[in-house]
Amino acid sequence: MHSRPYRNPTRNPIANLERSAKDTLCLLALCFATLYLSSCLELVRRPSAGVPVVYQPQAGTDDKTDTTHASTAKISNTQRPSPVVIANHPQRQDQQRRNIEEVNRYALWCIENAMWNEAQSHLERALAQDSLSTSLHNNLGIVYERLGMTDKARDFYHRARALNPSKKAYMANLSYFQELQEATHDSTGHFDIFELNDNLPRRRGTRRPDNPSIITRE
Amino acid sequence: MLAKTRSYRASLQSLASALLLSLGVGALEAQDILTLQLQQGFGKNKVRYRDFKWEVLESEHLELHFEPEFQNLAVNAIEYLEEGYDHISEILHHELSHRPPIVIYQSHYQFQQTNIFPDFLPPGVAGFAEPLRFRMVIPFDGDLDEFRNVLVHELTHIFQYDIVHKGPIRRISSPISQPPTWIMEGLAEYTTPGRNTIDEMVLRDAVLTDGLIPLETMNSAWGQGNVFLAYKQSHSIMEYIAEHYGPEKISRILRLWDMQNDTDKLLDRLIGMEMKTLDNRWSAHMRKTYWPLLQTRDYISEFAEEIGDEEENFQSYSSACWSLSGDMLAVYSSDGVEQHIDIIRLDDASLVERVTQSMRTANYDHLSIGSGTVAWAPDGHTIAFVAKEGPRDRILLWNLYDKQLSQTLVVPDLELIENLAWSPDSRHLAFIGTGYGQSDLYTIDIETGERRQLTGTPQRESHPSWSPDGRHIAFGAKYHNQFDIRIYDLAEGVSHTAISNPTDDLWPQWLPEGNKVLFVSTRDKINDLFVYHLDEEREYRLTRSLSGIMNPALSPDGRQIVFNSYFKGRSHLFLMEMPEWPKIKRKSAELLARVEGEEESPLSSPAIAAAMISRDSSATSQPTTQDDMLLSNESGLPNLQQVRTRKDQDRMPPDDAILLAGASGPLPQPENQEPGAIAVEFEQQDATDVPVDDDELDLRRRRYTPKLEFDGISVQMGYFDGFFSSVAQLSMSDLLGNHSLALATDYVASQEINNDFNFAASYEYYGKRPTYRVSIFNWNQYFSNNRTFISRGRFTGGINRVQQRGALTNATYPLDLYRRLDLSYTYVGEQEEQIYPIYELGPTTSTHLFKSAYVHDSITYGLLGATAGKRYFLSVGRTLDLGSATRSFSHLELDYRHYLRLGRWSVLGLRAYGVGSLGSDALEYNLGGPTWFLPFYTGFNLNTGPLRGYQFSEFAGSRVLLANAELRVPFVRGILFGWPGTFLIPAVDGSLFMDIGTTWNKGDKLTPWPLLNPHAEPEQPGERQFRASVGFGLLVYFLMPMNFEFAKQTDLQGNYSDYKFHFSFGQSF
Repeated sequence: MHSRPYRNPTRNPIANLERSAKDTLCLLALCFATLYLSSCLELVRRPSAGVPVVYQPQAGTDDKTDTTHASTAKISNTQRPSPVVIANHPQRQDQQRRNIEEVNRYALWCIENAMWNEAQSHLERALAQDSLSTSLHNNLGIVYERLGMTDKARDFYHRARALNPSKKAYMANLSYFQELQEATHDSTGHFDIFELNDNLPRRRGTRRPDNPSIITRE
Repeated sequence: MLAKTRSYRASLQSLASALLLSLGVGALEAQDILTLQLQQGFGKNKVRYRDFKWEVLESEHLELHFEPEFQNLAVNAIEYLEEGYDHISEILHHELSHRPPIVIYQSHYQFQQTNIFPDFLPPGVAGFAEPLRFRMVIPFDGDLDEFRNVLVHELTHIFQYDIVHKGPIRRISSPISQPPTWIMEGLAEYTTPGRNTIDEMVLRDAVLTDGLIPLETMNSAWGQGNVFLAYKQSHSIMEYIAEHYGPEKISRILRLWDMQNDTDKLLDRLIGMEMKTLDNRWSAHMRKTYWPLLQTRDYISEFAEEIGDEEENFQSYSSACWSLSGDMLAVYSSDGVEQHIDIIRLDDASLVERVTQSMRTANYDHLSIGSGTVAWAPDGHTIAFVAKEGPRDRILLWNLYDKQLSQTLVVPDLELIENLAWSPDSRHLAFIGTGYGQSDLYTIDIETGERRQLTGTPQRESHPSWSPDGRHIAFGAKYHNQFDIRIYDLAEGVSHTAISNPTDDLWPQWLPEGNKVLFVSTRDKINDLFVYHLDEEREYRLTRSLSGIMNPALSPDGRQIVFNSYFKGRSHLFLMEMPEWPKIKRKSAELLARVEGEEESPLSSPAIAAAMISRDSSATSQPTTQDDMLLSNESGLPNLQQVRTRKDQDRMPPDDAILLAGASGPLPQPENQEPGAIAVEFEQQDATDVPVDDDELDLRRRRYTPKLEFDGISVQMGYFDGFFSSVAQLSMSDLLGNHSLALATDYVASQEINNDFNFAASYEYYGKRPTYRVSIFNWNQYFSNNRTFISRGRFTGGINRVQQRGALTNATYPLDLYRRLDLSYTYVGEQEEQIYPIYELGPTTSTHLFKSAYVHDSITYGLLGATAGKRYFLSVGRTLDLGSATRSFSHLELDYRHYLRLGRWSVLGLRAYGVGSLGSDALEYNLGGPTWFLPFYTGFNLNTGPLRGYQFSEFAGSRVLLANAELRVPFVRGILFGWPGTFLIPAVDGSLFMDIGTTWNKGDKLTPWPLLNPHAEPEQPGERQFRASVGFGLLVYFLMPMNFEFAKQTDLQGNYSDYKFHFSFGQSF
């Protein structure tokens, strides 16, 4: 009678498979969690390579009370514009904040689908109802910049910066925008910050910025 | 097993028993009867959402069945029908030999609940006439003129049946000796007044793009093809015959058919030419009619751009509406299989978001079709669309930010909802609602649900559009088969005619500046775009198109227009730029200059009736009554000329004659004692509806009483191995189809036995939401036993008879269109006896079976099978164990099928099936071969297949497990054969499939793996392995689906048998 050979559990291919499946699942869960977080964040354009802005505010925090975790971020030494104070922040209602979050999320979806006009329309409409939202100003600045309305873009970057001076991402956006403007003026060629990176997978018909957007919650 | 010992003598009766399936009575043996009861069917449900109470109005020539709550509509119908009767009678020179029963429903959704037609009636069906009992069934769809047209159309069919099918055998001959469909439908269209511009558009497009259907193959278009075009072509051919060969030829067609049933010979006798010659001459005539239009009109592609390539996308778009920015459109899309609300890009029509993804069956029964059933709110993040759930439409609001349904608006007393339009503040929706036999304009507050009825006329309103300031609503209003554009003042609660021409003026759209309205007008029977300047009171032509324009939608900034147009046999979505105001004037002048002598001029305003007396309702939320009427000389808008035109004067009834639907005179009360005994005179019901006619209708009114009449008789006779059998079936039902009675008899005679008489009777009731069926039967079966006797000096086999008596009861409760519960009880008592050559009494057994099942079916079908969706059922049964003489078993069955779309027509079908009969008297199921090829199998088919590659019913057992996967891909669509005769094979598909399954009995050792090697010896008794097969096939649709399949047995480990060929009818699964 043949005896069944002893199998070392560590070399059991099935056990290995299970373990690798668990690892894969954990990795996938981590990816999904990251994606979910990123989808809840505010749209902020990343500065040029070498000048990273890592900005992840706590979910649900208001612009006014937001404390950034961008201590590791290095901001370009580009001259910062003087802040433009528009108004003091009143305490906005949760519903209002949720609405703005929805609009920001939708605007990002539009941008991912290369519908910049649609994003602009909804952001402008939301801003008409809440003129103090820094995220709306910031995101409209990005959309205006993409649509070539540089004056408006600069103005809205300034407003976002002024509404929430403590938020370094806004400052980074403004600084980077100004850098680009200066670079564009110094160059005879066109420089598109949203130039496509062909190595990145993208949905059919969509144009994504060169650097994936970093989004923060309202 | 008993089944194995019985010989082929039963086979004759197996055929007979198959005929009795429709009665719900099987006839082979108790197991077969029980199995029939246990076999669970799929199918969607005809849900009876309410109890109908019917009354009957009898006029001189007709008998109208209606519900008292919309008696005004019934009176209108009678009037239309009597007028139509005279009209048709004059054309066809014929008087009906009897009074045809006509049934009207107050909406299409109630029409769908009729039991006169057993199957589902899709939204496109406007009514039907059936040739067996000459019944007409028509729904009201909100438009009295369309209602009249359909009534006249179907009444013409009744005349046709009366002419063609005469005498006592007409119900037998009618289905088999009918003239070609194009003659029948062409005649019916010919007697119906006029073609609208959409009809013209379809016909004109076919002529100009060489898309006409050859007359030889026209009939097949009604099965598969462009049915709408077939109707219009047939109509046009009849007009051509009447115009060129005399109107009297029309009346002769059907009479000649009585003498000559060949279409070529019929036409030869009628007009002296064959069908092909007629087709050529008519085509030439049509080309001469339409080709000159090319000189003065533009192709749509000359001034607009098609949105996307619909051929590539396989999608047809309609009801387009704009997003906030104008980057996207929300559309009703259809690919011929599924319908959805989609968000597409404006530039290439690529899909951005599918709004109705996975919504069907969970949120609604089906989407409502028609223009304006989708609307994108001006706030940009809410899309409203209309879908039917249960007995009525509802408005669903979808939030673009959340990507989910946010709200459902149900309007209890309205059944149809169409033509949605958002107010500028996105807080209100205007729409056209149909209920109580009329359609009106309504608004609804999205937040509070408060509804306001703006109009109350029995006439059709359509396509509301809010002014930019939200104070007015422009809408189309029909009167005397013609649409005008009226403007409703929301503050004042009155409306006035703003744009009125001798043609239809439709689809108003306010320009953002608020003093101009874009609209479609049907000058020269072609839909073109116009702009009406409210301040200048002038109209300006924007297009002079060849095809015509439908459903225009202006972008939020007023700079672009999307619209539908017809080209090469289908509707396409186009985008055109809206010119600036100065350019509009120049464009209009240019278009005018193209044609000399045209009456229209930008300086000559069309008939404007700004100051006509409003006959619409005041602002009420209830259906308008006579007291609600306001007479006002105030115009709703400034600067409109306060002129009453001649046309408006014609429309205006005397002030004291203004009555609305719901306020007309009462009908006489029904008389129960003497139905139809009282003659009552009716006055014109609605002065705003039709011109006051002094003619009085002589009507009799009575309650409807169900009365069974014959539907049909079927007789079949056969002889097999000394047995002669004659099966006769007789079916009866009442006029409304609520009660159905079926009787079947079988006279059996042979040399060995005395003559024997079997019978079965079945009664079914469909009058309420749950449906019931009761059957009783006394049926004898004969079979050879295994005993041998010496009779009259020679060996002979014994013959047994099983006498079965019993009853079947079924109850079905449809939960909705897709789901239902089935309950049944079956009793079968069996007495077995040997009847030849000597008599011996055998055992007596009985069975009491209770069964319940839950069924879900949301499949969409193509010609060759399911194209998408899923279906499943779970069935549980148990017998009552009352002693040793009763059968004892339990039944458990699950069948799950899922069909995944791969591309436009390709489908991957997956199926998992299991059945188990447990207990001491477990039933036996068969497996093997294709699912169904009854005509070639002389046994009763209990096959649970398919398990292709094996003999038909090769395996038997009380438990079955089976899994199927089949990929179906389209090979050919529409092969036209010229010999023998002209016929069309509409579809040929190819298939790749794999089947795995087995049967076993209690106590067998079942080995799931490995599968049985096809080259190995079969298993030993008591052992079972799974069998598998792979193969390919051709699925051909010709009259019905036919399968030619080649399959190899396999163990999925590289061992294969030779190919085995299967031919079968029907769909595999």
